[in-house]
Amino acid sequence: MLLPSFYDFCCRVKTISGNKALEKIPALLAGMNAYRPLIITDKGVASAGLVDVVKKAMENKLKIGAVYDDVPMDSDYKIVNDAVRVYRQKGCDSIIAIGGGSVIDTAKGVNIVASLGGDNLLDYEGYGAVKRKLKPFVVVPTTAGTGSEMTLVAVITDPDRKIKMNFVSYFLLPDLAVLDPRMTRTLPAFLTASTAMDAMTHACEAYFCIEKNPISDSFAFRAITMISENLLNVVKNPGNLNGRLALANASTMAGAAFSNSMVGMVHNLGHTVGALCHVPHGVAMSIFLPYGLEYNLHRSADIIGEILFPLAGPEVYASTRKKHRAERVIELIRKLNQDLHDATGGKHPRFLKEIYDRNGSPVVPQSMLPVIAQAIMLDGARLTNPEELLPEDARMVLEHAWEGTPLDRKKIKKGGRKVKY
Amino acid sequence: MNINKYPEIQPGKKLIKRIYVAVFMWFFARAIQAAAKVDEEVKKEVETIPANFTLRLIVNPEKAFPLFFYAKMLPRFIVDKGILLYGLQMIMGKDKKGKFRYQGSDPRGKKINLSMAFTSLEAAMMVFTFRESLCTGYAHSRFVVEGDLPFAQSIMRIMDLTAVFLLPKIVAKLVVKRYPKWSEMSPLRKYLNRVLVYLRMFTV
Amino acid sequence: MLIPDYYQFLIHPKIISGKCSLENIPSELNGYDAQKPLVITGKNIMERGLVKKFIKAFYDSTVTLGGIFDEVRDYAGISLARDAAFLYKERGCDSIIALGNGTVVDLAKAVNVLVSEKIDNLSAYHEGASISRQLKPLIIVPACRSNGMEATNVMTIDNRRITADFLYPDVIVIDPRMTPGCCPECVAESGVIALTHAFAALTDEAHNPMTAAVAHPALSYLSEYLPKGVTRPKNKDASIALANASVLAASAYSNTRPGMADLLAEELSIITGISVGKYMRILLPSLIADMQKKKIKISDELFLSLVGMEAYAATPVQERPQKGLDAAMKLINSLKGLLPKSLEQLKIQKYKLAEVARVAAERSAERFTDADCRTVLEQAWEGSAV
Ligand SMILES: [Fe+2]
Repeated sequence: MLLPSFYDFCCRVKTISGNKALEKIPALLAGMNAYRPLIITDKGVASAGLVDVVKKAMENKLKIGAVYDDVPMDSDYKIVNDAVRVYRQKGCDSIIAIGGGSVIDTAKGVNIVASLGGDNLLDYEGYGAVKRKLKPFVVVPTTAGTGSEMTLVAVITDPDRKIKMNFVSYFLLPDLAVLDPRMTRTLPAFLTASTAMDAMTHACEAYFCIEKNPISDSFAFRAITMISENLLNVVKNPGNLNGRLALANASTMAGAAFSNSMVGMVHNLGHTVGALCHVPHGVAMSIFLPYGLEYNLHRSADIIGEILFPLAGPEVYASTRKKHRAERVIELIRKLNQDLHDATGGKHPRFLKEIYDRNGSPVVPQSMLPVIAQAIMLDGARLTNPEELLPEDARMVLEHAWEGTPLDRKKIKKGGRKVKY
Repeated sequence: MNINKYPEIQPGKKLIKRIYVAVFMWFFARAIQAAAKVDEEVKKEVETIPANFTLRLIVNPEKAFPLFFYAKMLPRFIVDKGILLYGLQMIMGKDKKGKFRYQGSDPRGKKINLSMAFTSLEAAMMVFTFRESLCTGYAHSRFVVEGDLPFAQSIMRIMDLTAVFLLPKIVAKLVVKRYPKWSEMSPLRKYLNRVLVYLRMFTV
Repeated sequence: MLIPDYYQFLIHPKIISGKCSLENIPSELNGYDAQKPLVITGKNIMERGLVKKFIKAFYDSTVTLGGIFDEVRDYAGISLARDAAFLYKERGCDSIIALGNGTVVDLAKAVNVLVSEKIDNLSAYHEGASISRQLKPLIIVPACRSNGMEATNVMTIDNRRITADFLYPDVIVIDPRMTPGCCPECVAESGVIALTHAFAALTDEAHNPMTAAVAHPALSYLSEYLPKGVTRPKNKDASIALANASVLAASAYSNTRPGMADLLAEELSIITGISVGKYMRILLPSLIADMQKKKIKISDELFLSLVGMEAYAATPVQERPQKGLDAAMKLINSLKGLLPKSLEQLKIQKYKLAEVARVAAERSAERFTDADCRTVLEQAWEGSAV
């Protein structure tokens, strides 16, 4: 196994996983001297009855301070300040976040202010503002995909200044991530598909981007195995709890991998179409993933080829010749997207032109592509991609992804040295 | 127990490396300034940056060891007040006229929009001696970028292009991810710009 | 991939490994708002000149080293910890760096508890109280001869163990300037310990995907670099890979139940005072031979980690678990005559084995029977599997 000339890895989140994982929360919180948590969630999660599932699992063993369920789609610093007020009013001593990305980010923000004092999150803007242990913080993810429970970043918007603030500190990592299949059981098929493909992208990009390291590789490797073994099955049989548990595990492990080895151009493109055209993150990931692999193929063919092992199993790996492995990986990811498209009755889009909003109009008009290509320069994931990605390159990729045709590999600009890890 | 057996240790300083980094930063800043005037592509990239944008390259810890003591050993032209008082840093900014200029190393009174801080002197040496490219340096957490992150990409692109103009191919290939081919950057443009950048660095 | 019905997993330390990583310590300390660490290290490390190189890494930083306490030898006891804690307080330190392995790290953990909890002995914890508060930042910088417990949540003071999640080090810095081994035996011993730990993590039937993910790189580094490391202990590539393997194996091990070889080696070590590594060298082959004879079902992760994807994929499915055991056996026997090959050579009286087996079986929470332990021990006494 490759040992890079330098790496760092940190993932100090205690993970508990299992069909009865929720029941363990009270005891583990008590171990951290916490007895009165504030639950932070959003209306969607609450109305799906998931908060009740958690409450019931912790019945009698833990007194819940309050439930704050006003988190909007995009985390907002005013909501953070509001939640801190509730936290203090009700005398809470810890936080449980139940939900997806924005809930978890909001809860991270709440934890900063609640622990360090003051009443405004903006006071803690800037690198290195958080320098000590915060309050006990538990995350119960309800989508198996984002991996936010393993990241040290909280992205919180300031609607007045129209900017996204990044709060970065190892102290933002939760103390506990709870993976329980009951939390994802009711997730609709197409969302299961796209969120799992987000996790798949995290794992693949962690595996081939320039910051890869042995631990993140190993986590990514197992995440890919679990997703490819279970995803189709779960999409077809939503009640498959063991499959759900495997996907939740995969998502968290992929989260641990990519939060340490960063992501590449797939996320770069995905973030940009998300910001400009509001394409859901998971959908963008599943569309761009094969293109990301294809674009970087000439730079890291060996490494991309290794992905075939977890993706298709050792038998296929052994029977495919070494130089064809990377191409086979791309083929199989495309096939997985196609299978998911069929299994969800067409709700899982394969190309950009297939994404429609609620009114049935296309989300990414072809005329937007040049604008998107120019805007990729605003996202940091560009840096960790093995091959250079400039607006003109992005435009070429976007056009293919819009049409749904494979890249013309001759058109990809080459001319770099071998990637040094 | 006699605690004097275990004295407190105040670590020393690496003089030569500090001077190397100071000189390198000065050269690099002037080169970027020159490239922004000479090359169309760099100009275009500079245009995407908002007015009054200030960038700072700094070696942590800030203000640890101003070069005050070494002033006599530095070439005359590099000695400016900032580097004497504020340690290893370089500040560049876009002025009101839209020109991207080197502004010395005195951070007082300036609003820094984007800061690239090397975690240590050795980390800066890794990148400034081309043992690690800018991207690898970033991946190896040799420096931390903070501030208006969206513009960090443009700055990196400007730095990459400057490196292509400044350095011979064999070295520049260590620094950038993809060395431009003839079709992307004609040799005429490359060599002409190289001459112009070097000329402007020392004259203007 | 099999996911157990329930599992818990945690790697607390941040691992920094590779070129120029010592220079990251000041900024790591800064992240904890600390500027003045106390350095705890051993006499042998001082003598090998590592401390000098270590201090050089702090040049041009604002960190002051509050003192270099280099009194640690082969035994970590409370009185020594008290001395170091006194020095810590006198100098007004705010963090601890342990430069070295084994007892150095144990002592650093003990000092950390003493200064963070403001107490002067650990008896409360020996009696079962738990450490339930955040301690001071603890950074460890491994040198050679690991005892396999540095990266875990365990400390051993005066031969008594205390386990608590707060005892995990906060940062582990693996730098090629510090890791080169002092002698082949040293490298072999640390390697064997890492191998035994990782082996335990993967052969435990309740292992989970996360422990497997951490044990995997540990085992692949061991199989790639251990033979090279014992022939050329000063080799930088091998030594840094083996140091990584030790840390990762320890991280996997702190998330699993100890295996039979671990338990037996620990018991023997407590009775005789000889290091666990020497025992593991003898016990692991016996255990593997016993497992092969009984055809115990294990997961094929062991094989995958040891031989890599290519060889794994080329082997038929049903042979993989067995071949994993073979590969482990081959790896450990590649040490040849570096370490003693039987308990008899280590002058263990045969009658003591029964007692050791009994205690180990008791500590295993009914996973291993007294008789199983005895079989393995008796084989190890003769050294027939080595
Ligand atoms: Fe993502």
